[in-house]
Amino acid sequence: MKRATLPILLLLLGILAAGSTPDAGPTLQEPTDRELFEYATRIAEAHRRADAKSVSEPGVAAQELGELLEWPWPSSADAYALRADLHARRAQLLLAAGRWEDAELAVGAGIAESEQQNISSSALTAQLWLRFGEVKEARGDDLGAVQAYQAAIRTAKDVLIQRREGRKGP
Amino acid sequence: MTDDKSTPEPEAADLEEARQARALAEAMEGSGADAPPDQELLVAAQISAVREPGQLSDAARDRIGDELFGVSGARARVRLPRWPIAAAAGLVLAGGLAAIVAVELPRLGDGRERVAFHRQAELLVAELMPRPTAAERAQAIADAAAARLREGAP
Repeated sequence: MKRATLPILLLLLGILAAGSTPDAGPTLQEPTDRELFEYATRIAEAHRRADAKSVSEPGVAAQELGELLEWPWPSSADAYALRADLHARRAQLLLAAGRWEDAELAVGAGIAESEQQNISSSALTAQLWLRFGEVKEARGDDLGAVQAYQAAIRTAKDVLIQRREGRKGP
Repeated sequence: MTDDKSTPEPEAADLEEARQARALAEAMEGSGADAPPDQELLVAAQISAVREPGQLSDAARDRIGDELFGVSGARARVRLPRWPIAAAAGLVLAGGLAAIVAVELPRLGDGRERVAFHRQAELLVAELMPRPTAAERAQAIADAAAARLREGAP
């Protein structure tokens, strides 16, 4: 029995390893419009709740948006755009709450994710760089802020060029 | 007076040296050399000339001053020339200003740059975003997905 079990286990492990996509995170393999609709609706509602709390309780609003980032998301450009917006908004709220380190982590996670998903030349990534600059500025890092703003400008110009050439980014 | 007990009185050699110093000073004044030093400075210079050999007491130097120059209390003022003090003060001031310029100007420069870049980035990002708020952007994606669902697309 033992001799027969080991090859089967190895085969199962091989199948699991081949099927895993470490860069993609907890994505659904075949996103449908229904999944995207549900995901986007949920995020839109969360943003509206955050809008209501953004002045009085920015930390609470950021926490709620952070919880959304933990959910599985459909693997599509629209879903990544939604996530990039979530990261940027969360950073803005954390900044308003005076949690500069958390804000920097949030926006850093968003930029890393956009690079990982090959959407680094998008309007939302430009927005993330803009937020990154604002976080740096709040932390007194003028040079870091200028560099981040320059990255935002560079990214935005890339997007404008892409649009002029007829390519559509998220 | 206790001071006088521990210090030697002026000796003949000291007095002679002081006289020579005085003669030198008078010669300088008489020779019309560049602006002659004022009396106080001369006294100071000559007192310091007699000071070295015997480390005279204050009282002894007073006596020399009175005897040689008729200036009482000459010991009280060995005045430094003003220009080194002015130069040192100027150096300190200039150094302070240089430090302020070196530290603060780049910061001011960064500040102006930062504001300009921030404004430019903000305008560009706003221009790229079709809808101003995150809620509206998410809703637009949801609406597009719903429209595709209604049309029967997967």
